[in-house]
Amino acid sequence: MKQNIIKLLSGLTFLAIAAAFLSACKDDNGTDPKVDTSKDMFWLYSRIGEYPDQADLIAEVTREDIEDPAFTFTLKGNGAEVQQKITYGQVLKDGYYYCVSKDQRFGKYKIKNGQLIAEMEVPYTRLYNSFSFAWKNDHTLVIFGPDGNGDKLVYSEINTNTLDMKNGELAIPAFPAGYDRVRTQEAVYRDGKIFLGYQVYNSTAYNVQPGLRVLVLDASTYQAEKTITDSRSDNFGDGNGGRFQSGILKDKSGNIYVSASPGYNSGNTTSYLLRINSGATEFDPSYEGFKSSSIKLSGIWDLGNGKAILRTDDSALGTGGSTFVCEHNVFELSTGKKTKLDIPAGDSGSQMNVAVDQENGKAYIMTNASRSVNNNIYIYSISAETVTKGMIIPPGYNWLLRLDYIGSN
Amino acid sequence: MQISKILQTGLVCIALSILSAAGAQAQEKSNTTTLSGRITSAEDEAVPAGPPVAYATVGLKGTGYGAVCNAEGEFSFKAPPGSYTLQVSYVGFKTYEAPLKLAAGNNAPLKIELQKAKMDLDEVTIVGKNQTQQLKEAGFNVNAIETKAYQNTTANLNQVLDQTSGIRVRQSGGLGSNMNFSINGLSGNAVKYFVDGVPIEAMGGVMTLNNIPVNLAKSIEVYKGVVPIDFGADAMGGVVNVVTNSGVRNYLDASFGTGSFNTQQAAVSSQYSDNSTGFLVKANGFLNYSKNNYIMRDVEIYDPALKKYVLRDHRRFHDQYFSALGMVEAGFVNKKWADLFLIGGSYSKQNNDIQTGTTQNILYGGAERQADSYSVSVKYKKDNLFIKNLNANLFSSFSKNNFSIIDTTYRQYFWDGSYNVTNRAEISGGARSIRHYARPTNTARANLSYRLSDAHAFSINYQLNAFSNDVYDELNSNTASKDYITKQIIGFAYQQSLFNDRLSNTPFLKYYGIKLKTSLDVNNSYYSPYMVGDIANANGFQSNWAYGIASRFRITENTGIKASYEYTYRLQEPDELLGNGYTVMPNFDLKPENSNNYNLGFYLGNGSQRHRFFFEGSGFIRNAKDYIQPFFREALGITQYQNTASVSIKGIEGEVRYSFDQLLNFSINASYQNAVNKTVKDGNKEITYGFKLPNRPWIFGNAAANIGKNDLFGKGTRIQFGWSFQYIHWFYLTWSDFGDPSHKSVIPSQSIHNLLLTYSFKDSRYNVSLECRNPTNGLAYDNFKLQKPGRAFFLKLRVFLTKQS
Repeated sequence: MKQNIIKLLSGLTFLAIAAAFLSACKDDNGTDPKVDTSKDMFWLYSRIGEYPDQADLIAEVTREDIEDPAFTFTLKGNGAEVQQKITYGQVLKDGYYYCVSKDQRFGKYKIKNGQLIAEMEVPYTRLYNSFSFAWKNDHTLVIFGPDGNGDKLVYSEINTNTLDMKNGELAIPAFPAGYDRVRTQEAVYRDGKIFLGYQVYNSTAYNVQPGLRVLVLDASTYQAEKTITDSRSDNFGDGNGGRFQSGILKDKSGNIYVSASPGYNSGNTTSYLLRINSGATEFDPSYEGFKSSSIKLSGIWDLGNGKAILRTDDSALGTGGSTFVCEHNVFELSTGKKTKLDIPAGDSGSQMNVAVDQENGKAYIMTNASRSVNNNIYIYSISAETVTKGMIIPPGYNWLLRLDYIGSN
Repeated sequence: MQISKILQTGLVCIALSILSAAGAQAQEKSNTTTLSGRITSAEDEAVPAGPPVAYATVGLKGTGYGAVCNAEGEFSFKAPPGSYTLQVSYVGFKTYEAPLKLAAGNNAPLKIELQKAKMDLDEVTIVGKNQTQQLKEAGFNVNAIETKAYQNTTANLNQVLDQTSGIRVRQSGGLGSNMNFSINGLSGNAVKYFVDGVPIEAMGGVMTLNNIPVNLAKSIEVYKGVVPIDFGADAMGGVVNVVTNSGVRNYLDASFGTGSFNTQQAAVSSQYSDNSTGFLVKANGFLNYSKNNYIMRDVEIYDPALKKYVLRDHRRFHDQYFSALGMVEAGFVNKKWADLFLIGGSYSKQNNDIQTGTTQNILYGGAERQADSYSVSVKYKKDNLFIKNLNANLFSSFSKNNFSIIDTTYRQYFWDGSYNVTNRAEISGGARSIRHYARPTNTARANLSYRLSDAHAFSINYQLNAFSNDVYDELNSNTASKDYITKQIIGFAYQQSLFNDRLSNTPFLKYYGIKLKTSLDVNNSYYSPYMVGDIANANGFQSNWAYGIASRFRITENTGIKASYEYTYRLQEPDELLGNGYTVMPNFDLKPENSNNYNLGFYLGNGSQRHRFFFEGSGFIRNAKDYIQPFFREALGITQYQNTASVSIKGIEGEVRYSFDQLLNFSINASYQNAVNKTVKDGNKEITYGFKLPNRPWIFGNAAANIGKNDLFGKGTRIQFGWSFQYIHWFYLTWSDFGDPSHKSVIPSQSIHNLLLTYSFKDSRYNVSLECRNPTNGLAYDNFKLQKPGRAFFLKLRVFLTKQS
């Protein structure tokens, strides 16, 4: 009897283990929606899961799919894993991402057939990231930032065809009493000059020096020709360089429009859209295209026709205390006229969520407004001034970090 | 789902078994007489009458009459008067047989001493039943590993544990490298470590499973998911308890090993006791050193001529590791006023280079970690304190653990050892830092147990753990913080033994109290926008209750079913609640992690003195909620801990062992774990809800075989050849269903072998071993695909001298 019990129990257990192993050993048969990369392409950068199981994926999406309101975006079997190599805040140009990688390199990357491909890489530690950047020309990228000690500003001028570099240090005014660190904000190149925002702060109390500061650099010598200051704000564009939002717009005439919003721990409360007129190296004192103490101006994207998509964050619109509840508007740069687009407000996590294809006259706005119901891509027609619904994005993504228009890839 | 059914089926089996046992009890015949007695061991002359042999089998040969001894070695059963042969047997002892005439009426209690059978050092993998069985009787799901089989290897305790079912030790590199210990899928702070029931932190922070040599431990117990109150721990995943030699024999166990990668390891474990005075002194120590300069294969290195990264093999060049510990305890045993009274102290030191970041493309060449610690402690044990069957076990200690991270090198290193001078520190990417952490810790434990009868016992355990967390940067005085935290854990347990100890139940209740005191300036405008929760909680008190039950039903002498459940917690750590005053913001509303843990298992053994077979299988469920995880607010550059994720883990595991005499033994185990994300935020499911968690091994197993021969090269010699094998099935680095399957990051399947040749002479007094780890030079990885050592050779010399006092 005892022997039989032993045999029975051991037999059952082995069967159970074997069954579990066999079922577990089956390969995952995820759907494999291969993307036709010959078509116009977008890259959608999303973040899923919680630390330490957080993952970043960039998926290729065709124009056909992104404009199809019946198409549902999925990462199932789709997307390139990138979290070991890059983080968002990379610089996009002509179908390539340029950035300082997580493994201490500067690289030229692209997403192709579900894979992050490093076209070129070189060892690099001079800067910790490439959030503050300006294009001198189509092949010359300049990135800026503090050194390791945080008390100097340095730069690297990079030939994006070869990744050859020229490095240097920027002269900045001496720290005023009570401040000992410096960091950079956004930068923009115009007519042989680079306008670089920077911020001085205290490393103990973390308070920032009031006011906005812009170095006007000679783009050949990197000598500072002057420093622009303005007391209305602390940020020149996005306060973290161009990582989170596009905060600077240079129109075809050479006017530079700058979102200037309250910064982290700054004490300021009012958001502005400021302007440096073409040929000038000062803010136009007569221009405040946008001004609000309750709504934060968080992003601006050029539509190419004297108008822009303006993203505003209004915490009053949201529930749950989110400070990133965004609305999208069409904004006339010269007059400041703002027309709200019929796109759901709310934000459960999105950053650089607007991609503009001026050539085809469309702006693509990615929403992550709801965690419980489907979100969509919205397509704004620049000529018809209409909004249509595009691709469905199911709820549950922790962050939709970027939407980039690539073109033919 | 299937495992839930298995658990349900098991519970039904237990219920049916209880009914059948009750029925059998009712059918006892009335024309019988009682035979009782006590079984002791003759192995240890130092203890009068020897220690009891718990759970020995006593019977009248050729009849069905008999019983299993209780934990005190006592037995009692009824049989008709007559002439019989009394037979007493137990694994590890010679079977006792003697004629017995059982008279009607009262029979005098018997006193029987069992002679210990000759055992070889490498004979048994799992603790002999006299220890494991006691653990199993309480119904807890426990792995108990006897270290004898590893005593001649250079393994550390984590490597021993890594070969048992349900356990994964994920170590990032060679000797002394970072490790993460997982019990049934729960890991990190959810697993707590003890040495003889004392928290390992109380021994000094340098002492960890990845540097304790195997020779310092007699056995290791791993409680999975459901933890006895005696440990007084917020161990949501389980407990690892290292058991050292507790007998009063005099012995010296000294060993020295040397091998690949400039590795040297020495260990001494010794004890002297004087039987006449009861004086006892124990001295233990170890020393580990390795350059860990093993070859990294196909690592990326930049070729300036080609202007691209190429794959090459290079040796690690900045991974030197050193650790040393000395520990002395002295006192008395077997006195009227104490069964054991010891005062002890220890000092330990550790230095290690830091070679890589989280991936092997991130290299360091100057960063170091340094640590040292000391501790003083008092232990007191007394059975029958004041009244019979009231037993006390007290412990108190003070320890101070210091460690520092040195990040002062402004260089970027490459795998060939070359570097570029940079403008930032290599780990932080910021300014130079020498960050010091000091953690003075007071630990006290009081355990009282009272056995009302053989069927009923009660115990209460109180554990106090009070420490401060003192952090400062030598090069940046702005980053200092000091927090205090006091944890008090009280446990109550009732042990019930029914139907001649066939059924045992241990329900228990635990109370967790946690008190905080922060040095944080809560009025600082820097913190205030990012503080979460009520600031009053910053210096407040939180309490939580947990509970559970562990049951076992013995079907036959060596076969039983176990089931256990616990609702349990992992309390918050100071930096999780209070931040670090620098880059981590406080969250005063942070709750402890909690989990409902279920285990169902059975075991069976069979065999004679020559053939022995043992099987153990179990299934488990862990439903863990409110996982504490860092949430990085990238826009602000700060981190805050939050109760975010929930996870459900279900799994099964099994182990089979067989041995034939002293010639051959074989074991194999396998584990399957399915961990699924169950995170819901604000009532909404994450996109990864219901998906298997990434970066976790989910199928793994081990096998081992030893063949040996006694007296082949002369009397008292033994030669043995051993083989062990570990298999870890491939797993995805990130979420399995997401991303292009043809380019997903995968940690490949790993098959690693080890070989060991041991020659012992003079009855195992002297031992020489030659070990080859990973002889096939297979690639082994940690969870982020950091490469671990390839083929390596070690020689170990060991002397084991023992003498009865």
